[in-house]
Amino acid sequence: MRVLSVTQINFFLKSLIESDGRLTDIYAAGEISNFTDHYRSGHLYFSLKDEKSVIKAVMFSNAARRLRFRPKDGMRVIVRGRVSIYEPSGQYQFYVEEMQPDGLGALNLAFEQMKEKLSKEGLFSEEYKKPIPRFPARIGIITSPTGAAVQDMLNILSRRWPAAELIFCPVLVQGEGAPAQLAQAVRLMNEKRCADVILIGRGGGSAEDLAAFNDEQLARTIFASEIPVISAVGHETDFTICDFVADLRAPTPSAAAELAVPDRQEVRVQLDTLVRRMKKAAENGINDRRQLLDTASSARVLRDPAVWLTPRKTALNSAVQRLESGARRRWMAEKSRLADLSGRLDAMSPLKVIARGYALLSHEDGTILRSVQETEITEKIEARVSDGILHLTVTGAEPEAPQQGGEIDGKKEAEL
Amino acid sequence: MVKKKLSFEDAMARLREITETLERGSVTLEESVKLFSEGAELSQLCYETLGAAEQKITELSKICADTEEA
Repeated sequence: MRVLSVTQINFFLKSLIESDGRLTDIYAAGEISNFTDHYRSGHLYFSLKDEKSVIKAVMFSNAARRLRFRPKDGMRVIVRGRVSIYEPSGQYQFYVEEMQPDGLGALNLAFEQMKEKLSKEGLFSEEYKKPIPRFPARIGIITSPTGAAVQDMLNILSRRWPAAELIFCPVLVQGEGAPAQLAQAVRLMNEKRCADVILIGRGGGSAEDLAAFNDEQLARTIFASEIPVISAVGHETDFTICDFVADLRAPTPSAAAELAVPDRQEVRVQLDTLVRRMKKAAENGINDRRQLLDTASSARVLRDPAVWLTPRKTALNSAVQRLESGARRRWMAEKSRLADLSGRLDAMSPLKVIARGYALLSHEDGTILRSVQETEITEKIEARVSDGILHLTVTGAEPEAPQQGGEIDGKKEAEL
Repeated sequence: MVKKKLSFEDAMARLREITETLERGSVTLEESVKLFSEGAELSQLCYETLGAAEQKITELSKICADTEEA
């Protein structure tokens, strides 16, 4: 009898199982228990069980990274993978490649987890919500080109506000690639700055149909959009991540169109009112002034200027008279003062002095003789008196105290 | 005087402002005539916007292609 090693047995069983096509790519349903998350390696270890049995399971980190939810004990899941044996322990187990939550709760769970995560990051905060412009000139529409949603939106927009230009970006709204297309459309509209507001959405559908609008990258793109975004996904009762992160959530695509633009009939009424008020105000302005003018032109002064003019003329005349007589009085006073002054000046004249009996002595050459020292005995000198000149001869000289009044000297000199 | 580029919102806002200024009656006659004619132009602009007959629809891909050519 051949004796086998343990390793050989495990190796043999492993190759046996792995060669069986029925175990290499299979789906299995079960409930998670003994869940262990190896933080360092990223591998997940757990058991899958149903009412009667249990099987060990492992999900390696490269597969675990693709999970869109966090598994935990008690969660019902559907896994895809293969069954094999871990040789060192001989433990056979399910090697999980993909895992999805089982049943209706699956998407809900992923949704709740995503919602919680983004909410914690603040992506839904009111403070980041941008106001929706009242009268957008360009409206970006991101939706499927084939659904009823786009028709509803176009109808409402053209009825309410045809002046706005629609920038339409047809995209897939469900299935693989839909989230990327939706996000890319939002990015492009921002890049080209070609819309004042963006409507993004689709018509109603199953939870799976709406799943593209729960995509994390799409949510982040909408959050980053500088153009305000109105989300319009499904029916009133449907809520998506897109709805929470958008600046405004519309219950349906039609409602989004109504929220995006005003009703032009209502605006026309407002405009009519405004124009009527403006005309009225302008008319009032003119009427008020006309009235002022009427009042002014009916005043007595304009109808009969003499009433105003006469007393003023009289006042002016009397003022002129007062001015004239004042000036005349002043002139007379100045004149008499002048006469007085010239009289006094005349009295000071040297001729007047001679007239009073004084004489002016000079040498024969005409220079004034002021002192006894300026002459000598026998010199012939002249004396001017009031009516002529006397020719004299000096016969004696008697000097006495010096200094005569200088003032009189000056006057004599000035006179000659 | 009124720029063609003025948005509907700005035109409405300015029109409201003009109306309120005229209603206060605190401007000169000359100014009020000027304001009124500006207001008349603005309201014309607004009525034109409201009267737009057909909605223009442009595909985003066309805008992208146009800007790339440019």
